[in-house]
Amino acid sequence: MTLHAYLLVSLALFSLGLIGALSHRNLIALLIGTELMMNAASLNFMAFNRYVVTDPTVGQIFVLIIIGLAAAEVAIFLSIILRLYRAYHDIDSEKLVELKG
Amino acid sequence: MPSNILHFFDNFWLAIGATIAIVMAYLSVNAIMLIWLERKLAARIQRRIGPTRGPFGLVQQIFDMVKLFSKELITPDHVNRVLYLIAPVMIFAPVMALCTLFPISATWVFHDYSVAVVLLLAISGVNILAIFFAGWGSNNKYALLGAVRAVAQNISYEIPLILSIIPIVMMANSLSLYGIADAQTGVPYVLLQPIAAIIFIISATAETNRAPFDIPEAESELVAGFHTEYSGMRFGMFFFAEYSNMIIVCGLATVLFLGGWKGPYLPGPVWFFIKVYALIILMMWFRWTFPRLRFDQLMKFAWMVLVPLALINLLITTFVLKLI
Amino acid sequence: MPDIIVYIFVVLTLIGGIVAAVARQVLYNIIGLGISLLGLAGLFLNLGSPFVAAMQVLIYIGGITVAIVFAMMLSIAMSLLPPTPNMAKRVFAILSGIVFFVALASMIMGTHFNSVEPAAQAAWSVGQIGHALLTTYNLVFETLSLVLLLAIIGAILIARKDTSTP
Repeated sequence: MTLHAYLLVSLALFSLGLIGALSHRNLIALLIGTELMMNAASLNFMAFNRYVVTDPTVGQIFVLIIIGLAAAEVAIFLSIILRLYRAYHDIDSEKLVELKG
Repeated sequence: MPSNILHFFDNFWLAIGATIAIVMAYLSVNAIMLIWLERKLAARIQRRIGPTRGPFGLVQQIFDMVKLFSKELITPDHVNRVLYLIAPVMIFAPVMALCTLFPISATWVFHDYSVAVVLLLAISGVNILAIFFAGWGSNNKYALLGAVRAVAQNISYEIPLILSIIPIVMMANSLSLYGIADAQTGVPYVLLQPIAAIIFIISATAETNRAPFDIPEAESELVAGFHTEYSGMRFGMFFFAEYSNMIIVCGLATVLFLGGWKGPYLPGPVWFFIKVYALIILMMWFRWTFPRLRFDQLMKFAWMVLVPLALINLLITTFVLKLI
Repeated sequence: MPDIIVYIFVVLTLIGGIVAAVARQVLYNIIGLGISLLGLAGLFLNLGSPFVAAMQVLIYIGGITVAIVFAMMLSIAMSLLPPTPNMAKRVFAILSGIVFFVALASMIMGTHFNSVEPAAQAAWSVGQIGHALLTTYNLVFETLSLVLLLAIIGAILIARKDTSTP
C-alpha cells in the first residue's frame, strides 16, 4: 500500500471520529469520537515514519506517547462522567448546561 | 536459531492452515485430558475414588463429551443476540492465537516473535472484554454481577502480573520467549527471583478465574456467574477456553521461570510438557486446598499486597542488575 | 504480509469506525471502537513495528476500552434507551465530516512526498526505542510519566465520594 492510501485511511478514520463526536449527545460517545481522532493521528505518524523518515525510532516513540496521553485523558474524562452522573443522574450533553457547581 | 513453520511450508496459507490444525488438535486433546485429571485429582484429594468406568475412569470422559455435544443449543428470547452469540467465540479465539507463541524445544517454534511477551499480555486482554460481553448480553442480573466481578478481578490482577514479568525481561535482556528461555543457562529464574515467581503464580491463577479466585463463576453463589444463560456446546466453549488459558499461563510460567525446554537427559519437548503439567497440577491443587476468597478480600489482596511487593521486587532487581 | 491481509485490516478499521460513529446504543459504539483499534494494530504491524502494535492492543483494548465499558455500566441512565435522534444535528455532523474529508483528501492527493528507503530492521527494534527514550527524548518520557501520575491522582480525587458532608 502506498503512502497516499495510508493517509486517506487515516483521514477517513478522522472524519468518522469527527462525525461521531458531533452527532451524539451521550458523553461517552463523544469520548469514543475523540479516541478515534487520536488513533487516526497516530496512524498518520506511523505511515510517515515508514515512508518518509530516515530514523524510524521517532515515529514509534510519538505513537507510544499518543497512546499514553490518550490513556490519561480517558481516565480524567471517565472520572468527570462519574461525578456528573452522581450529581445529575444523567449524562446527556444537551441537558447538562448549567455552569454552577 | 530455531526453525519456524515457514521453513516447512513454502506457501504462506498452507503454513497458517497447518498451524491452526496443530493447535486445535492439541487444545482438544489437552482439554479432555485436563478435565479427567481435575476429576481424579479432586477425588483423591478429597479421599474418594472419582470416576471408575473404564480404566482409570477414562470412558466417563468420552460419555461426558458426547453428552455435551448432543445438548440442544438454546438461545433465550431476552438476550442481546449480537453479544450473546459472539462471546464464546471471542473468549476462545485469543487462546488459539497465543498457543503458537511458545518455544517447545531449542530448535522448533511456530514463529519467533521479537516482542512475544507483550503480544501475549495484549491478547490476554481481549478475554476481559469477552467475559463482559457474555455477562451483559445475557440480560440477567446474576450474569451481569458475575461479569462485573470478573472484569474487576482481571484488571486488578493484570498489574502484578505485568510487574512480575518485567524483572525477568530485564534479566534476560530480551522480550522474545525463545530468548528468555535461552538465557536461563545453569540456574532457572525461579531461584533468582522467587518473589516474582510467587506473585506470577498467584496473579495467573486469578487471571484464569480459577479457585481460590473463582468468584465470577462461583458455582454456589451466583448460579453460574457470567455463563448462566449458556447451554450445551456454548457452555463447553467457556470451559474449553478456561482450560486452554491454564495451559497458556502455565506455559508462560515455565518459559519465564523454569527454563522452558532445558533439562539433563530427556529431549526438549518432553521437559517442556513435564514442567507445564506439573504447574497445572499445582494450580489444580490450589483449587481443592484453599477456600474461595470473598470479593473485597480479593481486591484488597491485589492492590494492598501484590502491587507493592511487585514494585519493591522490581526496584531491588533494578539496583542489583545495574549496580553490581 | 500478503496484500489481502492488509486490506482485511483496512476494512476492519473503517467498519469499526463507521459502527462507532453511527450506532445509536453506546455499547455498539464501544464495540466499533474495539474493532477499529484491532484493525489499526494490524496496520501498525504492517508498517513495520510489532512493538507498537502490541502496545496498542494492550493499552487501548485491554485498558481503555475496558475502562469505558465500566464507566458506561456505572452511568447507565442514558445508555439503555437510545435517545430520539435530532435530525438537524446529525445531518450537520455528517456534512461537516464529508466536507472535511473532501477538502483534505484533495490536498493529500495533490502533494508529492519524497519517499525514502525504509531503514534496516535493526533500527526498528525495541532496544533502539528504549535507548532513544532514555537519551534523546528523555524530557518527553519524564513528562509523560508526570502526566500519567497527575491523571491517576486527579481521577481518584474527582471521582471520590464526598466524605465531608454528613
